[in-house]
Amino acid sequence: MTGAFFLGWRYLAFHKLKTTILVGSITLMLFLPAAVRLLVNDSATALTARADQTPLVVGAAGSPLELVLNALYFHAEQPPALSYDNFSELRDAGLAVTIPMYTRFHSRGSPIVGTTLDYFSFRDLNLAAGRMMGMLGECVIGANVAARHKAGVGDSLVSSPETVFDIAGVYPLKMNISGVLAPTGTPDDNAIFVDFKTAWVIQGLGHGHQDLERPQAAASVLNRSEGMVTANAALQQYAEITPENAAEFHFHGATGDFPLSSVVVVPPNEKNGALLRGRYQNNAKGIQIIVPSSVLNDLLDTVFTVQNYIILGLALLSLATVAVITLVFLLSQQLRKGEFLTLSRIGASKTYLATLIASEIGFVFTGSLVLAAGLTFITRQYALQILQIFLGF
Amino acid sequence: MIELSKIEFRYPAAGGFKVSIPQLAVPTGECMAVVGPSGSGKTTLLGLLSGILKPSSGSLVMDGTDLARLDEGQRRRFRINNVGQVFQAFELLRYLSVIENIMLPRYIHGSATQTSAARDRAARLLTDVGLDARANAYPSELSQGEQQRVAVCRAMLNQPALLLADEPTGNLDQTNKQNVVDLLLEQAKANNSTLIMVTHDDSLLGAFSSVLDIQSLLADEPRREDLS
Repeated sequence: MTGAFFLGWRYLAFHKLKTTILVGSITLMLFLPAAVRLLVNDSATALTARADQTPLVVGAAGSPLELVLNALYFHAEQPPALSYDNFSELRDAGLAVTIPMYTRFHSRGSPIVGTTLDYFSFRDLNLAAGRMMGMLGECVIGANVAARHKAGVGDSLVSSPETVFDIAGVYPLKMNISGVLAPTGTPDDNAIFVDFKTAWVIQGLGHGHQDLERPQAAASVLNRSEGMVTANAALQQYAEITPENAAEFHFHGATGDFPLSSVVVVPPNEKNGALLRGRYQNNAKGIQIIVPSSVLNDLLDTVFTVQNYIILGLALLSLATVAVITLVFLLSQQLRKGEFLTLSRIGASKTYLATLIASEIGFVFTGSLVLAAGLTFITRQYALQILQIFLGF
Repeated sequence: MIELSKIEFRYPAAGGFKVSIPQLAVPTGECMAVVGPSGSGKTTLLGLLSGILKPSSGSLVMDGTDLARLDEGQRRRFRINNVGQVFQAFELLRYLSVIENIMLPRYIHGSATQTSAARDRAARLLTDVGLDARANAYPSELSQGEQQRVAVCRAMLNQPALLLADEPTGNLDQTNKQNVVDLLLEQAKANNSTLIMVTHDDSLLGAFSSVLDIQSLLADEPRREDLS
């Protein structure tokens, strides 16, 4: 019967286009539902794992989901800003470790996360090279950022303007890389971490320039009056913070009004957590306090419902595909009556002919199964990267 | 030696059309042409000789084996090993190369070790018919004359004792007709096979050692014209 398998194989190999279409259809029929389920499950696991590690998030009143996505995954959508005074109030309450987050800016597609060193110990992030940021203007980059930009300790990254013609807005600050984080497989790999005050400098709330009291800056002084010096455009402004000019960087306005995106709150026990939640219940003071895992569970309930609809749709599509494939095989057998008659006249039995047809079906389904399994394996291997590409997590 | 005695065959699906052959003997190595009008039973005779059809009664003995007493599986094995067939429309499989088409009988009934030997034999046959350079071509790339030569090679693969050809020249021009007949006779002679060829073309009869008029065969006294 090996001859029947050989003939089956040769038939499929000769009709390459037909075979490819059949194998492709069956592969997709098998692969798509598996891939959807895999990606949804993996994304749910990835989402909930990070959310489960984050006890509470505080932000300005608004969409809880937007706040969670921004605070945990540095998602581009900006929740309403929280003031630094709000953060100070939380911190001064002494009920929990409070970690400020300011995630408004980007550098070449990577989010710049303004925070404090507490963030690294909270997320258990370790350095692969260098040291943590020690001064204004320094940054620590995630493993993927280092790979994507081929950047390391001693290199620098420049913050991107928010719009092309952003003259007065975001300050294009050159940030020196002091450290590179070890990979974690989390959104932290894709982030550039700076002190939150550096993020304020990027925003233009703080800046550095020549000291107008020094003789070298005399040419830039337009007017001196009591308590106020007016400078002209010749005044040298710094686009990079260095040890030499760091002291000349300063902030204008009331720091308490400066913005933050959110605050990650880590209470030491249930009681403190409950106290904090009670304090900001019903969006008191225009502030919301949320448990990220419960927000994401609500989202995932919706995602799983959608997933079930998609799989149902794919199942119906698979039924249609099976019907079409059956029709193709039956029509093919009709067209091959002459061939089967020849084989029979030469000496092929009915069993031989049945084996020939079965081998063709077997090859097509085995090929499809192997391909679908391979694609599913690749999807599983690269699920995280796929999710990062499509969902930005 | 092939001996048919009191053979009867009835087509169940053709209104009970019956073919009766009282007596026929064909010596080993004979090259016989079978003639007769359409529907007179020529193809039925070839079907009986090849074992595709089983006679309702009588005996059909070929080299000591009575095909009338064999079941379908046994007749099929007998056919594969002892009978080569050349069909009118060549009937090459379009998805097999020339050499694979010639080896088809081995693919249907043979082992892996036999396949290797069969490939050597197929290559030799192709050289004999001048198609060795076309071994890997597909039938659609061949002329009709070349296809017919491949069909003859396929029939000769197992060095059959009996070579049956059912109007193999029906679709060919005069030159190719003569070439195919010459090839069949040459291969049959080289292999000491008995050749029985059905034809409507009187111009080819001179090449055969005997001619059988199927109409006379179906009468009580079959007329066989010995041309040798």
